[in-house]
Amino acid sequence: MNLSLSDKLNHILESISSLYAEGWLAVLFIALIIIELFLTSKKKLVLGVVALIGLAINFLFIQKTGTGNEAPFMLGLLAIHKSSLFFKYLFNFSGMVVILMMMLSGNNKQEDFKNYGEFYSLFIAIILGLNLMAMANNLLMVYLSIELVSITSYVLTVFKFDKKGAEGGIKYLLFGAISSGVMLYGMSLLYGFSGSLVFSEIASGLAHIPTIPVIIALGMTLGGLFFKISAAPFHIWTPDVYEAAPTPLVAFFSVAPKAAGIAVLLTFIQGFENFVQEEKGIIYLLGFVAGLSILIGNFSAIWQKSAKRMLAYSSIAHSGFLLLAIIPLSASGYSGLYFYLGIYVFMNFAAFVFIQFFEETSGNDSIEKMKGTGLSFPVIGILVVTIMIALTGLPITAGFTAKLFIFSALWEAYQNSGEGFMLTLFIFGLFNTLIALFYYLKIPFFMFFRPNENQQFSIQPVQTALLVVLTLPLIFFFFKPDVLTGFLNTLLF
Amino acid sequence: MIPIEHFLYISGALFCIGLTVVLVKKNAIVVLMGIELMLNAANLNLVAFSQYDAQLIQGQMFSLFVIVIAAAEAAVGLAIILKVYHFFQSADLDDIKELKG
Repeated sequence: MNLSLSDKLNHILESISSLYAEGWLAVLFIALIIIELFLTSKKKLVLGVVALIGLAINFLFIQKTGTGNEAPFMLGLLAIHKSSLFFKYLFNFSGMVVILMMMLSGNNKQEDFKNYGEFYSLFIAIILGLNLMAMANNLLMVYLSIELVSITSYVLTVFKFDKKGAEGGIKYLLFGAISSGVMLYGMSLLYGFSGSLVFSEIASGLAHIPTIPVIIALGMTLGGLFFKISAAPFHIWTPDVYEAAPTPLVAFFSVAPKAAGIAVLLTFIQGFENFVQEEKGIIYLLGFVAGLSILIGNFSAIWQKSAKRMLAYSSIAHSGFLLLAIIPLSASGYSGLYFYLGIYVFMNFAAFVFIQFFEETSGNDSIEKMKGTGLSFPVIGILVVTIMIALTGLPITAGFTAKLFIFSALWEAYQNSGEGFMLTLFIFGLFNTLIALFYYLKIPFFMFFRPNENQQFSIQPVQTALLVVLTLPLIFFFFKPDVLTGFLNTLLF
Repeated sequence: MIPIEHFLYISGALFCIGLTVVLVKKNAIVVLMGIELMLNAANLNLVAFSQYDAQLIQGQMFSLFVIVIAAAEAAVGLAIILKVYHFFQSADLDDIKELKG
């Protein structure tokens, strides 16, 4: 693509029409910093409302830019993939929920932020980075957007400015930087093998290279992505960061960067489809990582006393299930993946919303402290039971439907290919769903079957309303999964 | 012209030294230095491979971006280490063990 300078400039100007949503987020980022300068009081409320309205408007921009073709723009750096639109909606929605959680956290003794301006604007920067991750079409863009998300996340992890926050931040930073170093080395090798940074050209360039070096380079590159989705060998930072960071942000970390990591992984795998179909090495690697994540996540979660650490390990196990959905490399696997992500947003946010409000009034998030809460607050109790059943993946919640789609895709792949590997993963995943029952139901158990001792918990009606809004879809989509699948189909195909 | 293998030997060695430093050393600042070595090994690769690229410049551009990001990462890292030192009176990673479960 050797264009003249004026051609390139024209191309870039044309590309801007596909970047309205990202441009708007950049404007919002700066606007929040400037507005904060003029505020003396009520910073949390005013800035929160501005950020909320900004993100709501961003939905329109996403819709407007999303309907283009799949041709790469910005000189091949970005492209609107089939799935980009879905992921952008997901990031934007989770961003709005996080800002609502921030605004509803009242009379908070532990989380006393002085710097709401910085918090909200850095948060918008994360969403911008995630959007770029979902559109990346080039190794440079993948690296840049992952670093934009990561570095901002390191800063926000420390935002409580206490001892735990500093420790969580340094652990996150060191693990993150190491894994991005490894990823970068893998990318440089891929560039050397193929002479290009664009996904499609790399895939064709790799055709006449011996497989073992390619698998090493691809494995190193995928390592950085596994870190972002906290899959097994790269998961060590997850519980510590989840315990240290502000709760609304933890809820966001457990959903959005994970979805973005999956988005990049999908572009990777789909770009290398022919290579992956021929050489099963990458699929075996993914299967191994998925199995290990599910195993480690589930078994470590059983022993946790803190609810946040438990959900951290549970989110590691969920990454494993998300990877399971990619392994069949089939259309049904991918649609199962999108469905799972859509449901995962609701159930994880609902769980964290409950933990946040519990933590605020009772001082910490230990599961044993939840004794008797369900008896004195029956509505909250029933909601929490629903959320936990959904996280386990049992019927009358959409968590079951989501797992069903993934497992049926795996089974279908086994029937078509007859590979024992798929069957092993299938059985392994089913058994682990049983193990998950033990720790998820620990919370409802303490809430309903243990007597109430000097209960301090209280919850405002607005907070209950947020919890209800997040929980109802879990039941609704179980009875009407076709509403969500229909919506996904209009977005994706 | 220096053959490409020589660049690869050096970058491979740099990467391994960086990784060893990261895994063996206990001081957070030294670990950050190890990470810089890993990133620069990748930079060396990118620039060396760039001469075989049809567009000649992609790898060099990539390494420029990496240098800028490494600087940003080091700045954030040092700020966090300062905070850690304030709370723990130490930058030794073995002393930082408040969080566990």
